[in-house]
Amino acid sequence: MRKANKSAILYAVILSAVLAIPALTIPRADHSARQKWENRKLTELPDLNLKSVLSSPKETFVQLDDYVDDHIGGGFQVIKARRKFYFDVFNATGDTYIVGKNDGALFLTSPFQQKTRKTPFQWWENVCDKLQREGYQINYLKRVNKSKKNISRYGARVIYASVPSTPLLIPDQFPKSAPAKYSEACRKVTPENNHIVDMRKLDPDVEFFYPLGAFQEKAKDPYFYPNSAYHWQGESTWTFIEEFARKYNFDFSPKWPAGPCEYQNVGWDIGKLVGVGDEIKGCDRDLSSLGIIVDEKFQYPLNEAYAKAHPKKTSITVVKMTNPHAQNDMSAIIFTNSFGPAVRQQYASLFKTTYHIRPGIINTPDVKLLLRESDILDVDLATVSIADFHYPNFLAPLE
Amino acid sequence: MLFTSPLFLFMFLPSFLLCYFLFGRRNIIILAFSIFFYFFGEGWIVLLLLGSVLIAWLHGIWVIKNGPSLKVMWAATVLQLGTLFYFKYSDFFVRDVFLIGDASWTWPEALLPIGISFFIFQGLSYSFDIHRGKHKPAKSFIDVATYVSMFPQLIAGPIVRYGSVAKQLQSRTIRTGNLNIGIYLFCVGLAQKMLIANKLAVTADGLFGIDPALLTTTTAWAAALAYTGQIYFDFAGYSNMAIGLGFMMGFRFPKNFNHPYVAKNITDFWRRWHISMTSWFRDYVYFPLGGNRKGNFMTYRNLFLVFLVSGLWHGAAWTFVLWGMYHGAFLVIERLGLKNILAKTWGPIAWLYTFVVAVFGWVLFRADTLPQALDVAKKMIIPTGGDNSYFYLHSGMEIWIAMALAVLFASNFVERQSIRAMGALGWRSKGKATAVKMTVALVLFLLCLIEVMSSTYNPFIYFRF
Repeated sequence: MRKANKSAILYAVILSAVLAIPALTIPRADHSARQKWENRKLTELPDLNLKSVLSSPKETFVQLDDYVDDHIGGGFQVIKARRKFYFDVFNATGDTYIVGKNDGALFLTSPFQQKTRKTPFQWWENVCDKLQREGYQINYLKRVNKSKKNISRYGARVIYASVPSTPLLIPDQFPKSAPAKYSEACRKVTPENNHIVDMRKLDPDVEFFYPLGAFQEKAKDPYFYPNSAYHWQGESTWTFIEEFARKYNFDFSPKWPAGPCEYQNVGWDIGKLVGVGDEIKGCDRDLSSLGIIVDEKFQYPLNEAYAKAHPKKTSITVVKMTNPHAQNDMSAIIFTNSFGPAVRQQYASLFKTTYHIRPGIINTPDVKLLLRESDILDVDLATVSIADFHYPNFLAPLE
Repeated sequence: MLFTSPLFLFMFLPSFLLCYFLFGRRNIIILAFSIFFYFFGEGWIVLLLLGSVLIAWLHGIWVIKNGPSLKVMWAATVLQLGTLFYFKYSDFFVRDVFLIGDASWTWPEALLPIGISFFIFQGLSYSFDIHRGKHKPAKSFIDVATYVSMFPQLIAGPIVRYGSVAKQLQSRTIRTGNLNIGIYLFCVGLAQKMLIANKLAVTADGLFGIDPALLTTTTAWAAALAYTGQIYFDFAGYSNMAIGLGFMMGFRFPKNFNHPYVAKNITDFWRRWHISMTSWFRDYVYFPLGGNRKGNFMTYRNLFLVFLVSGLWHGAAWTFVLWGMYHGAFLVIERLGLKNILAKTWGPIAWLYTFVVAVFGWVLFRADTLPQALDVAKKMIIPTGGDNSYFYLHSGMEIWIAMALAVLFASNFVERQSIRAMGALGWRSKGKATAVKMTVALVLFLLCLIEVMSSTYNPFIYFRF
């Protein structure tokens, strides 16, 4: 006899109904909001007909599991509320290598890719400590010169233009949970006393551009380089190119937006990973007003001899930007890491034709191949740009 | 399908409860849902589970028709253990013990089916018990299959003996009281897993994941202590969820953990840790080897062997083997006289000895390789300074709270105090006690619900990098 009394049955039915609410509300949940918030396509419901389930049960059920995870009723609201609560109350970001502070400041402390992470506060150590040591600078300069020799072989002028990033702009906003030695070290890096100043002294032939003074001055404005971003956003990108053009006497495009920037949403950054806050607010200008024509999939041809010998590989994809309003006939190329997309159009507005290459996106052999087997370096100006120059391996494909 | 997944909590469990309570033939419903549960996670490897059931059932049928036979019992045992050996240990023995093959080589199809150690051990205990005449074999394949494959304990125990559920498989009455206890235990288990173990896992995984050369004494201890908490609350949490589900279905599964970290010697620790496994090894390995009846030397040998095998049961790696031997060695040392000394020692000292031995044991258990285990243990023993920044990253306030909860709930302090407080408030009556427990369960469930749903957050990470 396997019996259940009536009240137990009623109890179980009610319990089942309550437990099933999140599943039953799947059709009513706002999945597009979650899709936008998480910046990905949510898992689709797998084909649940008997034939496909029996032929590939594990794959079907894994997909079903993912589908339920993605679509469960109330999940999106709970995630947002929980992440906000944890961030506000515990400073918890949900990612070990993103540390936060209650006022919304977020810092990525170590390389994003696991394989290049060596220590927990690698970025801060590199920028505020290692880079400030002479031995490190001498080694860095060796690599810089090696890449310069390669890049300038067609006669291009080479400028190493570096973006001052948050560890040097807002070290006072490092969370208290982080070791104090990092904020102390970062505060000591000033426009007069920094690695670029030192490296200029060590090798005056290398042209370094590093607007640390202008950035530190303006960083007090929370909308200049939003403190919830690892990458720069909005006005900081415009200031960078303004300073760059002034220093090297490049003419501004007539389309360069005049007047103050406007406060607006400028996109997402590491806050998206943490899942807190809204879209980043920053002060920005209308990028489309520059009128730059961007071809993201431009096939740059490899030289004839190579293409003939390797018919399957005749070109490499790069970003080509054409400026119909250029004040000169100059061509340029800019090598960047992930900081590049935010500044490339402003940079391209100074020249007629500009190529943008992200060695981290194109694989290293392809970058080397492109530089070796094409005339892409036959430009007037080549700029190598990376935040604070704290990532020497960035130069490897260019050497 | 994990008990902590939305699919289980919001789809599988309500569907099961609804079918189980509304329709008759409850064992068939349990069996159908259990097969689906396993099929969901492992696909057609479910046939292996059913094969194990078939061996146990056929053995039972033989015993019914012909009486116990040593040969048949051995045949069933060899088949069950052979299956376990092939799927769980063949790769280890061939590669690591007999040193055959290179790094790129694995046994074909030697996948590790989830829960195989549990269902094979349940099938074996059925065979042993019916052979010894401890229990009557079940005639019905459904009953044996329900017993072996019951989804609550299928993937993480406890290892339920046939004897403890044989009567309930035939006859059980489910009352609201069973449901209340079941819900309470399930929620407590869920909270142990989601609110404590998963938080401590951040520290443990983070610190065990880095190069041991970068560890300091502080971070090595933090890693070991976090894992000590994680493994207990994770395992005890799963066991409590299983026991809770069993109660909801009208079964009484045995208690699997009894505050092991309050033990004052390792012998006592093993009476409190994974009780169902320890008693399985005691009854089916230690006693048949002679137990403590054949003199001191044989007792020590038997103890050591049992723990060596139990280490291997936990996983096919040298770290597990050594972990088993490590505990076996301490049990022998305690038998040699340390236990008597500890009994006369001041309680906190005896407790500290036991806890530290357990913690070092967990380092061996958790480490991916033996050199890693030795490195971590060395850092714990020899004071090593250096950069503690890994600790900052892997130990936020939420983890400190989880650690505090772990300390509080690893002991029986809360249990004793709450019973005392309810007595003082005059809430000893069944109704009031139930109301308190159900309120606790509800709060825990809501907190866990938030964690369960939040764990599904999965932003596309390369959107800018």
